[in-house]
Amino acid sequence: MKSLIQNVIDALALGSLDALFALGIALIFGIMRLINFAHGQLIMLAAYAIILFVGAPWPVLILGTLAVAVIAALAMERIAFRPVRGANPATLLVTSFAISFLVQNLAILILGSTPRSVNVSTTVTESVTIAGLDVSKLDIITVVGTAALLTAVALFLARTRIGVQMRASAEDFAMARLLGVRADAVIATAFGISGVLAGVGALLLVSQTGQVDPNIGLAPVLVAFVATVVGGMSSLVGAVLGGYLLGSLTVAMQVVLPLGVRSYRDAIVYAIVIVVLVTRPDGLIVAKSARTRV
Amino acid sequence: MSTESTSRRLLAAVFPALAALAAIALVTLWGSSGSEILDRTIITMLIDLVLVMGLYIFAGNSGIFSFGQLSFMAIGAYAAGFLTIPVITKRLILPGLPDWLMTAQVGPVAAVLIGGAVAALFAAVLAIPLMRLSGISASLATFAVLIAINVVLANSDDVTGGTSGLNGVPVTVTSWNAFAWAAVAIAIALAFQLTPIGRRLRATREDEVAARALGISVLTERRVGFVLSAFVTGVGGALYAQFNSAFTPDAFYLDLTFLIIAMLVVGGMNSLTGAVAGVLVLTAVSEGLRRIEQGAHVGPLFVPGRTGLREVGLALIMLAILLFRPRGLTGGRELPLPRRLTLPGRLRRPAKAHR
Repeated sequence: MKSLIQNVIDALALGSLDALFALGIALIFGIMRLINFAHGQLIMLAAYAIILFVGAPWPVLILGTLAVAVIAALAMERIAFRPVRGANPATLLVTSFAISFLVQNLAILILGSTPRSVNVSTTVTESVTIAGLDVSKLDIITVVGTAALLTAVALFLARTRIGVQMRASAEDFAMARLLGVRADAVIATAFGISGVLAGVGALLLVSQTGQVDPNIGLAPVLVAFVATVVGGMSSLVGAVLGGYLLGSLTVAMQVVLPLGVRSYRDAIVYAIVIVVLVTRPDGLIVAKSARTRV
Repeated sequence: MSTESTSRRLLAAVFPALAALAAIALVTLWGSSGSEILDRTIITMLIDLVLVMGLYIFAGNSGIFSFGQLSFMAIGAYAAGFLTIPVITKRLILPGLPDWLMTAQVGPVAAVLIGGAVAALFAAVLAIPLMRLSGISASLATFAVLIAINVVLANSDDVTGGTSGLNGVPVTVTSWNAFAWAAVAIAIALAFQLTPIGRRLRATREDEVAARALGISVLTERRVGFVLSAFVTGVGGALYAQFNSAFTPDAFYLDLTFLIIAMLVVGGMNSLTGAVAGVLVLTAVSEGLRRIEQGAHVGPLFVPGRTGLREVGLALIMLAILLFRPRGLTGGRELPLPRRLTLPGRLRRPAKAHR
């Protein structure tokens, strides 16, 4: 029983991170059909920003990191994605691939490829005992923080003017524009939010691993990509659920799989992705707008 | 229609491939007479050309990007490795190989062909479900295949050597047989785009709904293109193995995937001329940047190099092309037949109208 609860907490913590990364990708995809492979580089830039701000009071650390991620996201949108907006999804994907490659190698060029260790805070890595269970404070922060952030994003989308416009654009971008929705503002906002999500994700990730290198964004973006595909590329709720599902699946396989097979875990995960794509091409949760007509 | 105009149309269709062959033959000649470093660069370029042709056969004709090409390359490379590494070495480094594979031994050319065939077989199985997907979902699925294959190769220590990969593949690739394989790849790509099935696939690229309305199945055409593309890519992988002798699973992962896609996009993915041009241009640029990366003498000054410069340069070029010339350097057109080779003056006008 005890170990079961422990595993559930692990699954929730891992799933929270996956959900954060997945939502960052799904937000952009919903509006402009772009699978932003470069999202991982936002995480990488935010992670290096942590090194810059570590030691400062924690509000400065958090706001500074988020600011770097948001500015990088907005710059990416303005410089690279705006000119190719409206191109077919394959071209958009290749563009994001190129940006990702560019930013990652710029980091290698300027900062070097050696990993740097950083200790975000010693207090968050301690664990506390709740009802006989050792739970790391960081896990609690991850689960609660993610839940709060997801709620905030949901409220933003539901209640604010630009949030409603974003949902309308995700539904039918051409129609939304005809009705007076400003494309530039909506897309920039989406990138801004995805920057915030990347920044928060980086803070949680780096607090956990204590290490930063130019490849740090790669694993999260692949995970996010899987979660988004499984959950439903056009549905934000689907992407978030996909994230939690993937986190649970990863922990469950770690526990259940025999030792010899465990190293193939990721291969199994990607095989599941292919099966989902083939059997339910639009993911587990399908937005009404996503059905292809004709 | 006179036979003269038919043969001229054939010449016009074959001309881009002939021009490409002439260009790479000159480069190969230059490479084989130069230093060893130059020779190795040219051979690498020829192998990249085979890989780009492999990607072009599917992506160029169908309009669907495949991010999983390098899983076919990996399969070709490992297959060729298993079949040509001496049996004694295999027993030592790959104890988990099944008996029939442990003792199997074939010549270098047969190994390349088998490498391509195994990759094609794998693609044929994959194509059954994957080609039913719409464009972007199919691209994502091929990407998932790439990652899954990489994980499997990196973790099956007894069979594939795990993350340390294979070594001891006999080196049998020289510049001229790399050239021969590149020529074969170009010929396959050209033949495919001239056959009815290739033309139908190109029609689905332009307008899938209209193509379906004309009775094109789409599914069959895409599957055939996918399998053929895997064959050529598998051949490229086998050549890679026979040239580098040692390799790890990460040789067939994101970095090379990016380079191959960049070559196709920069040249123009909708034409054979574009695909070949992309390989030539990006090889030249990347070699130039590699020299600078190692540090360069500018007059009396030595500018120390930095790693990552080459990749940054390649990414910048690719982005510039995507933003300012999305159809690539060639604009997706084939090299036209030079005027001198077209008809004498009095027949030129009707010929033009016909086109």
